[in-house]
Amino acid sequence: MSGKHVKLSPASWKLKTAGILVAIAAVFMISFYMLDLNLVRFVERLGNAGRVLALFVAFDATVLPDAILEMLTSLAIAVAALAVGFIISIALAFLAAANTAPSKIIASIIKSMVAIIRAVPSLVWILMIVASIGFGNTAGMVALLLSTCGYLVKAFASSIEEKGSDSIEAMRAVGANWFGIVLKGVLPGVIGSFLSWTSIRFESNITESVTLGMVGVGGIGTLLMRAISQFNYGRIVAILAVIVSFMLFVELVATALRRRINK
Amino acid sequence: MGKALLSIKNLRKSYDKFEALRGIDIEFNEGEFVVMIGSSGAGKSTFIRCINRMIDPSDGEIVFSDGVHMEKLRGAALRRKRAQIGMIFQHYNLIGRVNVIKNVMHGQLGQVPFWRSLLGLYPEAEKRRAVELLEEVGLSEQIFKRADALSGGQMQRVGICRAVMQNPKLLLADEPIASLDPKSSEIVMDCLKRITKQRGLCCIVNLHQVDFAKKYADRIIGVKAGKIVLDGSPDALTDEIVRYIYSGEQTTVEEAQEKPVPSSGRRSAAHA
Repeated sequence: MSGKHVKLSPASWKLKTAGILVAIAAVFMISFYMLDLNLVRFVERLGNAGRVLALFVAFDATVLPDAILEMLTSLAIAVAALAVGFIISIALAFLAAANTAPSKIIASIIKSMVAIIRAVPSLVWILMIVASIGFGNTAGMVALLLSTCGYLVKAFASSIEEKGSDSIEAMRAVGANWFGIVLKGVLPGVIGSFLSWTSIRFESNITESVTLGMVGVGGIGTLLMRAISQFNYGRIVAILAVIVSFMLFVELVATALRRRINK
Repeated sequence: MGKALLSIKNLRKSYDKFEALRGIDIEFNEGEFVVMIGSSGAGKSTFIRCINRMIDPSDGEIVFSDGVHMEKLRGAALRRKRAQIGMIFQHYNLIGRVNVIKNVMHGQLGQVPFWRSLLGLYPEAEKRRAVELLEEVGLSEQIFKRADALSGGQMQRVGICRAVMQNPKLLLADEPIASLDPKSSEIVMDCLKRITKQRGLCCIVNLHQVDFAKKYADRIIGVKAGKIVLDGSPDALTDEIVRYIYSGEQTTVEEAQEKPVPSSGRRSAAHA
């Protein structure tokens, strides 16, 4: 052994790592080139940023009562979609997860549906939904419900697949039926991570609910959009302040909840 | 010896090209405490999982004394029969976030209507029996503790109670002490033997520890490469046979018995 160079990984691994790094660098360069970014113009116009930012040093407090009320509407849409989505997603996740699915065909159908829902942005969903049921809170809730289910079914199913196998075996061995296996065997073990996923989703539901408001569904987004189109910077800032405060509050509550659940 | 309980004929199980069980013929009787030994991959776990059809055998018959052919059952009939066979696992397979007594009551899941178990409305007599069982295994203080807060030995005792709650005639235990220290292993094995003897149950236990097998078994079965190579009383388990069962050699048990045993290494073979 003396004097001989000791390798900590085979030479082929190093070659592979180098190859991967070169490939990533190439992908980055290509994307950069394809975007046709004009950095010179960006730097030239950066000077305007100060002037625009100065316009935002304003605060129109008169909009606050309206803003808070509309924020509550956005919050209500987010919560309603989350609550309904949570229940639907639990059922669908157990039907879709590889280790609990009673039928492979149903599981594939659910997984494909979820993949489609996730692939289509919720702004596109809202356009389709608005076209069929018109503007308003219902359209917002349905659009949000779709993206909530798209997210939660996938997350829940992966938790079930990760954690369920030992308890499924035990429940099968005592002669439990599918409902027994799922509700008595698997659910108690995964409900903690289900709630964790849901609390994460809660935050994005609120953000999405605000965004959906901007395309005409009810809530604070509508108010914000109106202020933007009027270039009313004081109102924009006040509305944003309401949104940010609510989001901070929600973030604190969600974090506290997650900590309790994971104990 | 008790009445015949279970008769297995030409049981085979293949995974692709690998033959895990290569034609097993054996009978089990009521009230016997049977220990199966054999190296990892010999087919012990596959064998006991074929009995309650957690694994489907490729061929052969599994016939209970009531005439039921386990290998032919499907759906609800299979679940009903499985509910009469208790199973104990190496990793306990308890529901961690659920408390001890509820875990024990899970043994009733195949026997009470589902809506009753969902609402926790198990018959009062069964709940009392669960408490008595837990007292019997020394866990009366832990009834409301979460299962994942228990030690390994305690968890396995809960696992035993859950299996006994099924009112089984047959108990299958797959490496019940493989994850436990020697002291806890002894407590668990004492518990298992006492409970099964008191109730006249047949218990088939997979073990790696030869000394435990000799201490507790009424009957020892040696499995090697998917075949039974020994079926007899604990006295029949000589050091030569232990070495044979745990070796990679493809000799017969008779040849192994004829070989002289060097004095050194006897203990290590017994602990293989």
